[in-house]
Amino acid sequence: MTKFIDIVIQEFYEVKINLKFEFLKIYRRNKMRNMMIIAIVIAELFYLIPVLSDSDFPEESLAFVSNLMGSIGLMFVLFASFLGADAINREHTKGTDLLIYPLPQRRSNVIIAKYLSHLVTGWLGILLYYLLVIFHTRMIYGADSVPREMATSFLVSMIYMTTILAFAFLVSSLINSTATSVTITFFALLILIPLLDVLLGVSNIDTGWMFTNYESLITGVLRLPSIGGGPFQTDLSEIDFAQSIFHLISQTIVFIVLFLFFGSRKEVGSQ
Amino acid sequence: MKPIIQTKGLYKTYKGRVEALKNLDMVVNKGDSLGLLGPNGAGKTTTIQIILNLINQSKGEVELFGENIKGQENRLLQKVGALVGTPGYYDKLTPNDFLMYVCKTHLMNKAESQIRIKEVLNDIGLSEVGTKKVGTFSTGMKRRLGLAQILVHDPELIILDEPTNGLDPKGVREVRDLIKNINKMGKTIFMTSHNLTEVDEISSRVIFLNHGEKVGDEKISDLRKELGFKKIQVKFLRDLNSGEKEIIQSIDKVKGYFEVDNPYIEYDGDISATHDILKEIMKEKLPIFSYNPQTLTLEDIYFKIFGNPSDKKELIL
Repeated sequence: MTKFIDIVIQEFYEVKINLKFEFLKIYRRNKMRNMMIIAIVIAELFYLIPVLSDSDFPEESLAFVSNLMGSIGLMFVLFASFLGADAINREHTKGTDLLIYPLPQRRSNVIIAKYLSHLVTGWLGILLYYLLVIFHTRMIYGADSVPREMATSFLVSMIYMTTILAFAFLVSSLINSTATSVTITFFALLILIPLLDVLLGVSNIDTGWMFTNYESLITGVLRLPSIGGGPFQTDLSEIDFAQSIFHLISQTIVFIVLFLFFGSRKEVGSQ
Repeated sequence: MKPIIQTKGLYKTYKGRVEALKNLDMVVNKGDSLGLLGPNGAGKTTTIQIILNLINQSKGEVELFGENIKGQENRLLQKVGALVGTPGYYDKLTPNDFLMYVCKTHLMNKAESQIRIKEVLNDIGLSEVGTKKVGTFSTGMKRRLGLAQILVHDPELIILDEPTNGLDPKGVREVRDLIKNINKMGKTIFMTSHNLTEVDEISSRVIFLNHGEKVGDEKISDLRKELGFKKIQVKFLRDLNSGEKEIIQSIDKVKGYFEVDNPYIEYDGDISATHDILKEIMKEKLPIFSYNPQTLTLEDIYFKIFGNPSDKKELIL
């Protein structure tokens, strides 16, 4: 029993030191700053367009929130592609795997720490985005105009970020080239998976379970007009919140197991 | 005393059935300075990667410090410092940042780590740049940082894979001197290198690999005795005629006189024979200009084993 506890403590210790190291790298590589810039640019763009074009804001605060939240999907794609899609294979491409993998630590712990640090960075970007939306809504429509469901929506966004980042990590663990994995992740999330969704839908195959469709849940819980495709597009009253979250978490676990498996393969400098 | 490294019947087969290692039995004892030599594709790097648990062997066992590495890699690797291949470095980090991380992976506390980092950076001549970003470093400085990384936790065993690869002559000299100093500290060193002069300078024992098989495992001094062809480089003031060449050939203990790029005499017997041969040359009034008895280098030994590419010789062991 004591041995088991020692092992668990050691595993946590390895994750902890790698987490600090990964945060340092994220900070020094300005990844954190870049994510914040993406969040600000996307949120401000939809606020500034009516201001600059001298148009009126919508009468209803819900419509205003809907406009701003409608662009959150793009932010997820950018975050996943530029934050996670090169996270694992970059060590191999840069040759830094030869520095860190001979150290006395489990490779999977290095990857878990990598995932957690990138996830927190993504969450901070999401948090900033929501704060900007809330800030502008309050500024224009008053303190009571912010829908209470924003908190639920934020929670769903955090879970969706967990899934989409795990998907990006999976791509990164499967492909050696960073440029290729970033491109594949970007186009897969933006075009390929939605296209597959449509094609399967035409063939009467149920695609409601695909993780990308649950992006609509973010606006769905706000009872806003849904953006994009997915299971909540037609009838928002039929949202099964618990089941949707279950599906997202299940797919996240599958992606995590797969990227840990593929990312921990022993291939450093092998022939 | 338990060996520091021991491999037993080690095999490695890569996809496509490339046999990188075949039945490698090898022992590295405490305090050894062992060089692993062989042509490209001989299995040197594969051996190091298996020992460091970077790849799995297909068959066989690896023991570190007398214990099988399977299942206790992390504990055993605490006592190892390794520099594998030509690694990349985190350009945006400073040596202090990176070395602190390395110390933590070796379970050192912050205060202890800070002292060691300072000491090691001082030892390898990077004390002035501890807070500068690694991206601004030359290749030689980065390689020295690699050496700092393997020394910072004061390991018992040091594993080096081509430690001077890609360095300019100044960098090679600096790194080689550093490794010699590490050796003097009494650390066990296990290294691969393409540079035979380097192995000759640093190692006291060599293992030769060819096509994944061990073809030799001896002390360099013993190899010199066993394989020793002894030669004396000579220069004459003018070209010798056939009669004069015959005179040299007939001198006692001379095995032959060869006029290749650098003319040399091959002889038999111990070092005192060189004196006797010179005396005979002088006695015969041959126009000698310079006379330089050579010691056998590891390079000579290597080419005796693997054949000189220019001679297109086949492996003789």
